[in-house]
Amino acid sequence: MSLTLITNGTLSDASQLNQVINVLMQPSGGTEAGRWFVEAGTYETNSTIGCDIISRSYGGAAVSVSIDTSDTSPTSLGTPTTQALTTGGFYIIASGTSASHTPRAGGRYTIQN
Amino acid sequence: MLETIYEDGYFAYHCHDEDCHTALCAHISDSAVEHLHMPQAPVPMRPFDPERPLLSLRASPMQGSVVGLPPCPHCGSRMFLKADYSVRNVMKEKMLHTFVSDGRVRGYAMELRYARSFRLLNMLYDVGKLKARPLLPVLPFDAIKQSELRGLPLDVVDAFWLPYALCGRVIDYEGIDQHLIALGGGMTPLLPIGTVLVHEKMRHGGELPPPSH
Repeated sequence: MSLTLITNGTLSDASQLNQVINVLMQPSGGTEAGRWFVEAGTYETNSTIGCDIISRSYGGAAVSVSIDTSDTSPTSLGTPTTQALTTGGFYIIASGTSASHTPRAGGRYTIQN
Repeated sequence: MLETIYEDGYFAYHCHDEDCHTALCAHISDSAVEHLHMPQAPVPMRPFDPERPLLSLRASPMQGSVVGLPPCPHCGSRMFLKADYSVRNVMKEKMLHTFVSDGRVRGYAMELRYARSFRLLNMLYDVGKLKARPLLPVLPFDAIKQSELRGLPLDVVDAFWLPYALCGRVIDYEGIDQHLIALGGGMTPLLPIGTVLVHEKMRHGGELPPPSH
């Protein structure tokens, strides 16, 4: 999304202010995208690791979230899933496939409001 | 976000990856369509307390759970639908459109994308793939087909029905109806006549009206 900068000496209008508001509170059907990464030790198979993703947008219930592992393919981890999708964000978890010091995964997420 | 849901269990959606956007389709019986819930005890429902605000009354017993959809075969991105809707979500978090006329609230309609989610959650519950009943029920396909609602798109029917179903649940509690009356500006929520008609027939066990030609 391109943002329009407001310059000195010119009148600002609603659309310029709304571009900021629409970041802080996504409009209907808006999306918020970002990146996630998780790395932690798993002491045995099926140990679960996870990370909390904080949404920048408040006020609207999220309808869905999509994640991928395009940045870092899961190493010593199963396929990551999400939980606890709320207005404030969501949680990404993955189960270890073995005892490992460096299981990791990462990618992109898109929250659909 | 779901886009279309069919009676036979198929549903369509788009990959959300910003570089992909592939159109996808799946069936509710697909093994990748699964209910993922947090490993914790369900939150107990609070008994009614008139001193507490309306919106804190019901905590979802499925708190934290999502429904995983089949991943995109092109980019690998996987979508998860929120499955733990609460009364607070519906009433406070921009899920409902409010119809205002003459300065008074006359009725509500749910955003279509949430209505589609509720439809899918109910279908998954019906086939045993959801561990608890969703917050709100949807009208059965048969009831819609036999009523005057059959000409409307399915998600539009649900969008009008679900706020009505929510009111029906909440006003079971003595005293809560006062909150709703205040919320509605003293007016009964205005809904399509067919929606109310179907509900009344179902509630009283009567026959549905014959289809008109």
